[in-house]
Amino acid sequence: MEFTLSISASDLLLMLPELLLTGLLCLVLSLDFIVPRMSKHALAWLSIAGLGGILVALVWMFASGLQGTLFKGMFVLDALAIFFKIVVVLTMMLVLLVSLDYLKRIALFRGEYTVMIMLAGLGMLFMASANDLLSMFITIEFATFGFYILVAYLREEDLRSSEAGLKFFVLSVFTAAIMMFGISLIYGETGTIIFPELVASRPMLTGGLVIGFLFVAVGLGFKIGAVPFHNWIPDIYQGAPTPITAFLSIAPKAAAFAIILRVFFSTFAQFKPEWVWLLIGMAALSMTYANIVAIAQKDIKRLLAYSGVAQIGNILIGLAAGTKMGGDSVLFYLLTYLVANFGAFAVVIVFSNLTGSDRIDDYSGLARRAPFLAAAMLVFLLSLAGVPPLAGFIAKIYVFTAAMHEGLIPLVIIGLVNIIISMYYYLVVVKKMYIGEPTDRRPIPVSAPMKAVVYASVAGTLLLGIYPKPFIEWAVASTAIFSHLVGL
Amino acid sequence: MIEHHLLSIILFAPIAGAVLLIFAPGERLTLVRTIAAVSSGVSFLASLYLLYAFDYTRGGFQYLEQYEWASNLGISFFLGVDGISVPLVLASSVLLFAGVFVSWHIEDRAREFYVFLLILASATIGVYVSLDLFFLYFFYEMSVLPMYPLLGVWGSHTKGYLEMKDTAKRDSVGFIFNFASNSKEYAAMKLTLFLSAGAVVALLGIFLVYVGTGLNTFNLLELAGHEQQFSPFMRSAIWILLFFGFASIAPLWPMHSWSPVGHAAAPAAVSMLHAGVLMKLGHFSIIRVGYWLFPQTTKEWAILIAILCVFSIIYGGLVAFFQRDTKYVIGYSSSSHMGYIFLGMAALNMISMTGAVLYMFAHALATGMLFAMAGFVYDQTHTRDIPSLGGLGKQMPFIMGAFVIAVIASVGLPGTVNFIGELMILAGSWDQYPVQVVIAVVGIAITLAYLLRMFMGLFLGEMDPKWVHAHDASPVIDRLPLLIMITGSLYFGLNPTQFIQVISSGVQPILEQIQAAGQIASIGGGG
Repeated sequence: MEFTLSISASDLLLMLPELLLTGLLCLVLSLDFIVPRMSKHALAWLSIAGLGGILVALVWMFASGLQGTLFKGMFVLDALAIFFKIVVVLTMMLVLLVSLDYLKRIALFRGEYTVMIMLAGLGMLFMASANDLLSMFITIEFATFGFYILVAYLREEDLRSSEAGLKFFVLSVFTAAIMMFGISLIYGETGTIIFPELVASRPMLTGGLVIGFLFVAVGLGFKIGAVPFHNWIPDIYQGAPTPITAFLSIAPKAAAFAIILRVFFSTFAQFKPEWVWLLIGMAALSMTYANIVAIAQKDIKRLLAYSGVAQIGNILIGLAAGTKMGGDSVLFYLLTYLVANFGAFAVVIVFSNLTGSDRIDDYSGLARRAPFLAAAMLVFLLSLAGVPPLAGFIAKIYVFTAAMHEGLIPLVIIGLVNIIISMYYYLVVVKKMYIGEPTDRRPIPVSAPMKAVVYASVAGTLLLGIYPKPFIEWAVASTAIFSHLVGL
Repeated sequence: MIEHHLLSIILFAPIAGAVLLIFAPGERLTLVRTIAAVSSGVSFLASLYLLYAFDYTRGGFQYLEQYEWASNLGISFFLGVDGISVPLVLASSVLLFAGVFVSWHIEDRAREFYVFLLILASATIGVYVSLDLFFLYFFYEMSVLPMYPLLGVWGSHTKGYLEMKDTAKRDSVGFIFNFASNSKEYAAMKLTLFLSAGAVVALLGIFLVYVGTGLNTFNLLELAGHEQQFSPFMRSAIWILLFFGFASIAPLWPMHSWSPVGHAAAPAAVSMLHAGVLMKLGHFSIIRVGYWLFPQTTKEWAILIAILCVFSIIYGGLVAFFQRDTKYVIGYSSSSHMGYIFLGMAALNMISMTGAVLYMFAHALATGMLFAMAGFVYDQTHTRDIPSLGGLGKQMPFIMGAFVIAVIASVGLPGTVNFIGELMILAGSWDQYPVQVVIAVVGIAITLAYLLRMFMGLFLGEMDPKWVHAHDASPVIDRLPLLIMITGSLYFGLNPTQFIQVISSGVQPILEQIQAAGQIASIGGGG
């Protein structure tokens, strides 16, 4: 078979963000190599500025309505891909900002740290555009590759970090194998791997296809950390450097949701009556299990890990609705999860930079030591709990509304009960911060970049909660490709 | 211009104050208190104006304001008041204004205290003025959460806590089920979780309404009149969800257990707002959502309210009688008095329901006074144990005098607005629920008994020499809130006509719908 690669300048425009990011990370890597004396902070700032440029390019691409496919349909650029790319780039910028202070704790390879973050991010940008099973697999592995190294970055200082890295690697590779097997089964049944062709072939629901689909779902479920594929999350969140935990808790999950939406909503949309049960089960289990287990946590990073699993359960409610509105609600929920969860991790980073501790008990009396940090943490936790007027409240109402339209009343009831359970452990942290007395009365200094991140997250949480209209409209516009999925 | 945004001003003045406070220097206490007083004062004056400007001859919803918010979900920011919400808005802003002065002496993190207090009060007002179900719930839930830090940080431990030395157990997961400990942390957590649980039950009802009508809107005015779209089972189920969801904040027996603990642990101003207006969110939301959207179902289920309210009245009253802690007495007394409002709501006629709304306002002022004074006495003596107090009348003549008036108002003696409310409730319900009315009258006697017992325990008898340094209310800061509430109670007690007209203009359309629905049902049943 003859294979010709014909590519024009206008085609390249479709992958402009990826090309720019590749250039940027090569530049940073070579600068670090050629000018070893250059401060690592300068490298990080350069990367942040570059990512800002990419963000501008993405916004321009969204505004101009650019779309198309590349490489015989392997790579697709549409409003949905742009949405997730913006989320990923935004998260990368925030991660680099919160890493500035944290870098001091890392002994070796500080320059490469920045590069590895961007490398993982590059993989996620490709994930958002993956349009066949093979590119899905490759981009997921590409994005995870950077994390294998990043999770273990504290190997010199903290044994838990090496442990986390090893665990993450073994489990990831294991699920990758399962997913690959699933892909091969789907290919064997349908003879194609490209999403639009899969739709067009209108496959029958054969045993091979079911197992193949389930195996792919296992791989994707592992990426988003839904129960019962969540076991890696707490240990790895706890062991990884906290900025990497924050990165891990948002960007790869968002990118995986891009793929999940394409796989479930477009490719296998005709099997909705079958896969909806899978999603309902994962949603109910994720919320209930994670919320109950979170109550017993003593470590704030583990608490946020379980809280994150529960949040994913909430997002899956919107996904289980299986409608255009469900898709909108997933996108909107991810935005609110981004600001609130990242903000919470930012506070954790500030706190551990000074005290070196992640224990919830040490947060006792934070409101006296650092009123600003405590108030910000209050906002983030209450937003995650779903309290008005914060972002998380609207997001929860949105997914519930989407599910109610599809008559998923039992699932909504489980979601509502879980709001109460989750409120308990979020309030326990609030109790520590506001009611407890500090054992150590030293005030906690907050550096300028950290302050900027925390302020921005608070502002985002409030803005999404009080004036969600433009963001909802953005989410609605981004899921235009699912407009065939009208509700009953 | 101001006329068009009157409700926004009432609602957002306290929020504006809270935002200002966040950026104010926390150590300048006078500035902090002044900001709180001014922002709540604006809200107070505007709601006073609202009472007089409200056109009761026209009735219906007035001062409408509507802004697009999330159109694809069918949510708009829609404000408006009718005759039922006007007195409750006034009560909220009065109690907020009074509460700012009652808390004047708080020095520990006063700025944060006022931020939470202002958010609490404006969220309460928000429920009363929302004509969009989404925003009604939004403000409802928003009013619950500030209670957690308010109780936890500025509250006080109640009985049984100090004996509990095992701090590990106190902070353990099990502590939420540990009913023996009445620490403020426990009270705060219990209150928040109870009320949030009630709220999500109501939310499920709201979702079912939203989906069931198929209109894709949360607008209360558009949702009304679609009751017949629901099957009899479905509308009963929704009504029950809404009723029990909202009644848990009211608090109706047997969902009351959070309330006395919560009241006792809360600082004075929070108890005032809480007992005064937050609990009425329950009654109000049942009327606004349950009665308004499901008139026929309301008629069918009203008997349930009439049965449960008796337990509230008697249980609350009897338990109040045996309490040693002043705030527990007032707390249980409040849950008992909430039963009267439910009785008035159950009878579904003009007199009793107008009386119920009037009594909501009256109780807000009366219980506000009692809590303010219980808080004052606690500040002076650092105890709320009635047997160890006594003879304080010599030290605090003003407080004693005000307390007499508060007792008169709480019991509902003539001259106070409580009297009129109570009388209307009892007279209006007599035809339908004579047994309940007799029990309610017994309840009044019990109220008199425990309030007099508390009064004598606090102010008469021999004074412990320990309290010799206790002083009376200071001329302005301490007396102003009490004087405002006393004036309100007496003024509207002596000139109730306009007030009653305003309330009836709001009650009338609801009752008309209920009667019309009843006729449709009887025609349907006969045919």
